[in-house]
Parts: sequence; structure tokens; C-alpha cells
Amino acid sequence: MIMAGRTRIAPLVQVLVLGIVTLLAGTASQLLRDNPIAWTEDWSNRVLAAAMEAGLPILTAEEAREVVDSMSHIVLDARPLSDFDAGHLPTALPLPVDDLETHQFNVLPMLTPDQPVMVYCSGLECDESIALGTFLIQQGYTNVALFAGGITEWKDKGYPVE
Amino acid sequence: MKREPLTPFFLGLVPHAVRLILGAIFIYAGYIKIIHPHDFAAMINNYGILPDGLINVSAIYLPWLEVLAGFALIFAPRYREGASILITLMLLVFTAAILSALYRGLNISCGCFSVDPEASRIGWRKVAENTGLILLSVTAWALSRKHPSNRSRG
Repeated sequence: MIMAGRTRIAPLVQVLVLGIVTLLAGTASQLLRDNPIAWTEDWSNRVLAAAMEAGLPILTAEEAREVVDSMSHIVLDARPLSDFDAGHLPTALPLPVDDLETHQFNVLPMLTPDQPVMVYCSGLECDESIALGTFLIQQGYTNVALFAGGITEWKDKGYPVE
Repeated sequence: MKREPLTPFFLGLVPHAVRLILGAIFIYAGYIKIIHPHDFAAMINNYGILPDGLINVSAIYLPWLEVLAGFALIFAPRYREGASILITLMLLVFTAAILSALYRGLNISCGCFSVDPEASRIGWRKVAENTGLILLSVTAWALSRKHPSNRSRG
């Protein structure tokens, strides 16, 4: 054992051994766990799939523009306050998901349960608007829609930002 | 007034402390993701860097690499150098991913020490944290080269 202990293993071999053990452990965990995840998955429609699961209808940028122009919905920005301050959709109110405790009482008292609401965040890569939409549905609001493209698509379309 | 022996004693503790801190951080970070692989996959997807085909595979294996490298750093003296190389490389890749996401203006969860979407968002603070960890891991690397484990056994 002492002799073995004195043999220095080359760093590259160490890395390879750790890599192989990782492959074995990861594969074993997939095979042994009750609910393994798919090896590959189509992530392109993740936001849309999550919205459907949450029961949130999706609005396109054009529909969102109409919502804003006609003031048919209360528009809620789910991003952190600093992002809201840096630029948001016209008529939008901030309701940052990362601090609902503080902000919900500024906004929710204005809403009746069937008040049309549109939520958004930065775009297709963010999940705050889905989290906010889910929260609102749980609170009993029945008319919540999601502008999935968020501020990114809004700006890409050249629509005005406040 | 013979205080000299104390200094080498405490200096001797430094490599152990560095390995213990870094190893524990990686074991914890990996463990959290191993128990929630799909949430972690969603966080990888948020970065928008990897193609769909590689997202779940990364979410399956990367956490194990973190845990095993962390374990090796603390408990397997003969694999310390390899572990510190891997940890350094992982930190460099993670930090590059965060920087790239920040550059693209993404406001996403880090997926570093939590898979909760409401957890801390990436930002310059996270970059600073990672820079600290990179310094720590490079130190661990240098120490593992300087003091090959085999010399401490005898």
C-alpha cells in the first residue's frame, strides 16, 4: 500500500478517472432513480408549454400592443424593480416576483377577480411572468394572460417603452 | 518566547482549509442539482448557450462531476490535482456562461447553489463570487502540485 501511495498519478489520468466515475455515477443515477429525466428534450417551447400547464393564454406582440393601446388589461411587469425602472411597457405596473410580499398590496387591491390582466417579463427565456401568472391564478384571478415575448420582443418590434 | 513553530503549524492548515471550503461548496452545489435534475436542466436552458440535445445530458452529469471533484479534493489525496484542475475548469466555464448571459441582458437565475427559479439572479456579485472561487481553486491546484499527496504519507 505504501508503495502504491508513492506512485504519483499523472494529472491527466486523475482527470480521466474522475470523468469516467462521473459518467458511471450519472448514468447509474438515471437508471436507479424513480423519475429519471429524459436524456434529450425539446426546450424550444418551454415557456409556451409552461404557460399552457399553468392555464395562461399567450398573447402575441401585436395583441399585447392592442392591450396596451386600448387599456383593456392591467399590465403587470414581473421583473425586478430595477429592470422595470430601466424601461417598461406603457401603462405597466411593477409587481416583481422576487419581492411579491412587498409589492402585491400596491397592486392587487386594484384588481377585481375577473379584471383582465396581462403579465410579462424580459422574454422567452424568463420565467417570472409565468410565476406571477400562476400566483395570480392561485389568488383567484380568472382572466390572466401572458405576453410571452416580453420586453425583448416589444422593443424588437420598435414599440414605445416608458 | 519561542513562537516560531506556531506559524508553520497554521500555514500548514491553509491547504487543508482551502480544499475543505472548495470541496464542500462543490459537493453542496452538485447535490442540490442531483436531487432536482429537471429544474437544473431548465436553468441551463435559460442561459441559451447549449443546444437542446445537450441540455438534459449536462444536467445529468455535471452535478456528479461537481460532487465527485469536491469529494476527491477533500478525501482522495491522490486525485487532488485532477480535482482542482476540474473545479478550476468548471468555474471558468460557469463564469463565462454568466458573463455571456449578462452581456445579452438576460435576467435569469444562476442555477449555482439553488435550482429555485426565484433564487438569486445572476449579476456582477455572482461574477465576483466566482472570481474568488477561481482564485481558491487555482490555489488548491498550486498546492496540490507543490505538495504531492504521496509525500505526506510515509
